[in-house]
Amino acid sequence: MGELVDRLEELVRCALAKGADQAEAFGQGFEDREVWLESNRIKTAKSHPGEGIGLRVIKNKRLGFASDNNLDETNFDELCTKALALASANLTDKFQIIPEPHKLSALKGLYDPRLAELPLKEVIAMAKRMLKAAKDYDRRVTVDSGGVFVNTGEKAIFNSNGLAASEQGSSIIAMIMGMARDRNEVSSFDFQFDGSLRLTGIEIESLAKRFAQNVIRSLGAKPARSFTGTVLFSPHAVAETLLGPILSSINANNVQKGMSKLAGKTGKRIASTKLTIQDDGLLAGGLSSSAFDREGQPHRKLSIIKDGKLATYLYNSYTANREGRASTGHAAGNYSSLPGISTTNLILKPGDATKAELIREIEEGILATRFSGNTNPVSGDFSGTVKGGFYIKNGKLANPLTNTMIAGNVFDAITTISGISKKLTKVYSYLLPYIAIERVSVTSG
Amino acid sequence: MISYLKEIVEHISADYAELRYHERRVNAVSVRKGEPEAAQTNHLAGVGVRLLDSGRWGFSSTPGSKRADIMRAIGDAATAAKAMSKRKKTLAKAKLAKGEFRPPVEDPLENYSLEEKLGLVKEAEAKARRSKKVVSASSAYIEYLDKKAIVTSDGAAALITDAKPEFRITVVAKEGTNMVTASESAGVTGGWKDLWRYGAAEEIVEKAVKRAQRLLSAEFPKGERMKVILSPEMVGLIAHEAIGHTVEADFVLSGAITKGKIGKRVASELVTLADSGPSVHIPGASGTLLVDDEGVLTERTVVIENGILKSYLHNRESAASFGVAPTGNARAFEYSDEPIIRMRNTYIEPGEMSLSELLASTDRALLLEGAGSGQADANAEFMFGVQEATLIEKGKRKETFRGVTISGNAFEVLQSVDAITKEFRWALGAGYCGKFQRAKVDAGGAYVRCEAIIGGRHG
Repeated sequence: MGELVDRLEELVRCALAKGADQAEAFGQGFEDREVWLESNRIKTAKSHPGEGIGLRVIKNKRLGFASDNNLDETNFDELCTKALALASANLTDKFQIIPEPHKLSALKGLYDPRLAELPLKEVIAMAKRMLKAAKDYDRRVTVDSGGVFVNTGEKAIFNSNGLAASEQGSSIIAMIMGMARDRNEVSSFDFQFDGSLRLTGIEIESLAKRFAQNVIRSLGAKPARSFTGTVLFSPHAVAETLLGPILSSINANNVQKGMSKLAGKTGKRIASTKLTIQDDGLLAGGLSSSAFDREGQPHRKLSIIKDGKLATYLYNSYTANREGRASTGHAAGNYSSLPGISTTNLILKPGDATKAELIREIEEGILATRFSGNTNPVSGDFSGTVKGGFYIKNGKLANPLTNTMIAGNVFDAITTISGISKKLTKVYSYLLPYIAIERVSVTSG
Repeated sequence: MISYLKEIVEHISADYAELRYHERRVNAVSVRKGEPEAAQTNHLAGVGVRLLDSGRWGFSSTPGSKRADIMRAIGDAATAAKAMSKRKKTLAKAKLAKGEFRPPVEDPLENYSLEEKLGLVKEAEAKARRSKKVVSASSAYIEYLDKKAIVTSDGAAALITDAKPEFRITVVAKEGTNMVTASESAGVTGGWKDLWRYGAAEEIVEKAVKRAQRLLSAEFPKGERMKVILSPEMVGLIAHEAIGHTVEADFVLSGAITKGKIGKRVASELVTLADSGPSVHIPGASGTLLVDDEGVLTERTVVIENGILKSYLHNRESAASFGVAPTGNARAFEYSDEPIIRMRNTYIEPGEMSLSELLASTDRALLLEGAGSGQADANAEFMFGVQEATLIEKGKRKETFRGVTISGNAFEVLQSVDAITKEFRWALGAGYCGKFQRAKVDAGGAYVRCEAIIGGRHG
């Protein structure tokens, strides 16, 4: 465990010896086991180890970065020289900073030794169970692709301010994607996801069943009419439509560089009071949980939007330094990239209605199971096709939809939220509800 | 490296074995709003091992190229193969590559220092922000420098070297609370001169700035089915996303809409659509691939000829199951990725008419320019964003629209094609395709007039 940090320290000392004012090394080592599905079959099983180191240097307020995917064979001297050469070619930026160490909480439950020891054969057996559950639900179901993926590994960081940290982690992820075919009709695609830090945390069969149900239900689709009404976004559709512009616009880098509509809006009402969004990098069992971020800064629980008011942007050390404040612990990326900014585990606060109750409230509208289209992260304009959707008439699901598009603006849409479900669904590192939004433009026919 | 890998592959006991050494250096510089964002260099090297044993595939990889590490990866790949069920599976005979391969290069990238590349990006971004109403901009230059050695147990032994540079600019314009973005890019396989083939950096910036300024005062269109004129980038987007993926043999096998349609009419007879490893018509397409990652020599694969579906895109395994020759479409992004069926440079062949003739003969249509993001389904239904739409009425350019999307069934759209111009270009050189792993692809064509559904807003 200490070995990786020792190598990173060696690299940082090398950079300082070669003239860097400050330096930071981030390293990863991992073992991946992947089983891929294709065309209703297991396609490949593969396992491979991987590793890498990334070196960030600052010299005369100029930034340079170099990475390599091989810890053993990399010549540290050469890597330092490359990073420093980039720094001397770069523009001066007085806000460049390598952060100070802070106390980190010891997080439990990030690493499941059963995942580390899981033989590839067992992963293949899980993928077969997923495939069988989907096909057993209905023979018209076609699994186009998907798989089961196990990752175990460690990450570590060392910097010239004396920051040193490392952590082991594990995860298992299952995905399934495909459609239903009934004679000449091909249904909408559906995609389902489940993931956990622990072997026992995912439910392969219910994932496959959810997928199969969705594609079979979307057979026999027909268009509705064009209208302006309520759209009930599924958790997946919330991620595909609404989240992108919000997350892009609370990224401090985008705010500072004039690429955010939410600039100057902290403390102000930007959404319906029903909307509360939190980020929690320490969430028990969260897929993105970790004690520290890409710069070794502590993760925490933080409200981004509280009762419709914008609470904060997300910062890494650089963007925080520009405003003379502390990082919020949202530096993101892997060994081969400079620290960017990203959420960790994002939680949208649940409402108090069931999905059925939300549908009952809708006189005329649609249920958008998935959204396939175009969302502009800066302007917030979205426009795209509803996949696996349903027409809602008089509080009931009338028929599955085809050829139906929705359009609007995310920043307007979050002000007209009329309902939020009380159940949350895991979509990647997000926990999301169903959300009903009023006055969305629907084109169909 | 070739003889080293050959010697190792000879000792592998499997029906088929493939060793692929891939070394990649990526250099990237970017500037946003006058400040540096990235100045980085990434080095990646390793060997991917793939085995076929009694119809069972196994894959593994290792960083570096030490013999002991490659041997361990071979062991892991064999273990993976043994854990699968036995199946009858063969590989089609192929034209296997032997020797050294390098796509043509004009003015190698090494002739320019990183300072010069950073200087160009810095100036491009500053130029954009000096323009009226532009409040922010970002610009980036990225280059992929690749070396590959591919050796298979049945005789491929190829050393491939290439360089793929790309440049991009994004402009944000603002007026009151109205905020719009526009972006332009260039990307090629080749050198510095190749990169600026369709215009110098300042011209690319100018194009993005002008577009953002026009979009500020643009309206949203009404949604309707109507005539559209697709620019080469929109043609490329549809050729790749909405048609191309449905003819990838792995998608065909799992039930894409093109299943059983070979020899049938799927488009207007004006349409000939191909996917080519070598860059055709104009050199330097960014998806240029002379040898695929199974060591197969690539070719120009005609997918649709005068409206008739002619071929799917294959690797050696799918070619065997369809009883045809492989088309050289097996690709892996990095050494740790296994080769899967991917496109290369996908395009619609140019026609006879000039663009001015096409516009003059247009009664009412929307000219769609600037590819946005979007998606397509296995049934060829697609929805793409368009940066800018211009109404053409009786041959004249009228107002500009923003927030436009185009959708429809790609084959129905291609059935409705009634004119194709002769102005051809590769238009998506800075593009990537994501299908479990990334791939550098290009796409393009000429201007194409057809019918589609335009999405907008109402109410």
